[in-house]
Amino acid sequence: MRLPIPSVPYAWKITMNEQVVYLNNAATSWPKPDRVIEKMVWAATELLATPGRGSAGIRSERVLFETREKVAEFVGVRDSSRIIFTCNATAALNIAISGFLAPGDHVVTTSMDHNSVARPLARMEDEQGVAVTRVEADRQGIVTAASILDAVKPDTALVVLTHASNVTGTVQPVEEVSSGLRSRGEKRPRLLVDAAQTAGVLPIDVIASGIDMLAVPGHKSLYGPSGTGFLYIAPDLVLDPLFEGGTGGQSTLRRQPGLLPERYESGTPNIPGIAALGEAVSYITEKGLENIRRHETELFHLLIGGLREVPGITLFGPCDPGLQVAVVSFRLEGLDPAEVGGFLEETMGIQVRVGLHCSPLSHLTIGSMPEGTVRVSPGLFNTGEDIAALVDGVRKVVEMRGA
Amino acid sequence: MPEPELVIVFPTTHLTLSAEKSLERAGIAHRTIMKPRKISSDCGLAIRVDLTSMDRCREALTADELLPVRFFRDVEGAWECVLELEA
Repeated sequence: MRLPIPSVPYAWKITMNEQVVYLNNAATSWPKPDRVIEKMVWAATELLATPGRGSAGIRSERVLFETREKVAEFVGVRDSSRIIFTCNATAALNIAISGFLAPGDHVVTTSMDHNSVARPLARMEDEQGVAVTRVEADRQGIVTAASILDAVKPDTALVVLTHASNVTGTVQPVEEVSSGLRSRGEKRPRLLVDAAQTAGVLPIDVIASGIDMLAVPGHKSLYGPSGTGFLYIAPDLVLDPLFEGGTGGQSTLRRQPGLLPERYESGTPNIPGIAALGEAVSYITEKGLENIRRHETELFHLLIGGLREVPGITLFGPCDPGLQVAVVSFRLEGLDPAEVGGFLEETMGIQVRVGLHCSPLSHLTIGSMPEGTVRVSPGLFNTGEDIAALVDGVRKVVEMRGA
Repeated sequence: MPEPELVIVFPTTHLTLSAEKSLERAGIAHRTIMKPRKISSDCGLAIRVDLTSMDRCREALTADELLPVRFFRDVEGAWECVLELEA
């Protein structure tokens, strides 16, 4: 079944940003706060040199340092040298997975992983004899702590948890798993958490939660610019660095320095982006995670309530704000999600994401392979009117289908 | 005659900038400089303070766990390591 081809004036396509209803914050948040953009422009304009490479670079160093301190405090870390800047959460996950695991190690993960976890693990399975147990989630994307802990073996080195699914929003039981792992003593498996969909929405305290490594994007719910992210590494962990090169100091060492953050950061960093990330973390902190979560939950209720009334719709995930973040996937009977998303965008300026969301394992789990779903992910700057427009748009799609 | 100078050297820029804040909190006058070549051929930063501040610097940096650190004193044009604190 296909929808009619809409007639969209070319000029309208060019100016669409002025009319857009953006509901794709799980991919990247939009818009960014003005002060974040201003900070990025300031850093690109005013900061002269690369950190560690010349006297003018001291100002750049301080800007990076301030962001590192803010980020560390935001996730409950006292020693900010344990925060490693990356270009996104994927880079952070790759540093963690590739740097921590050794040939022959066993890893426990879940069937709700994004490819940023699944692919590095698949490569290490194929090439380095790493054994991976993928604990199956149920059709709502829920994995119990007991099932994860049951999969842990004496040679398990690492447990990787996606804090919240980017397909269904389902939140995984990080604290329960961590507690179970800690009870196994010093030789316990380490816990890596992918916080791509939760940092900036749910409170994260790596010390209180017993998280050994935490991967965070700067450009999603922290409202920083794209090209930013970070990895937290616990003080007693030493990973093999994924990148090696100039660190601006300890230059006479033949090999990569052992001290952090230099061990895992080489080359010129994204100074404007990191400066803006620091501003974004300040912005989020001032807004308050409780307020952000409340706002997104209100939008979530409107979204679920509206979509449930649409004829022929299938909603995926728990549909319960107590069990998930504000990420909702759906399908319309007889229609390809790509066609639905394209129609919403071209005729109503509504931006959603369609397809597999770089997470085919999740779609296998929830039963939406191979077409995937239409994913709606409201953010801080969305309003009830945006949700009403989306629900109205979906209804129009259904009417079109029937026409 | 100006006070004799002391240069504080850390192995990483992160420790150096953490020390800037630590010394500021402790009310110790300081200046961040490029690491003198005669102390180390490495790139990076160091912190210059008056020699009379050495004990207070040691206390502040130790309390904030900003280690390892080395203190260098200018002795007739040559930098001599007068204190080394391990992590």
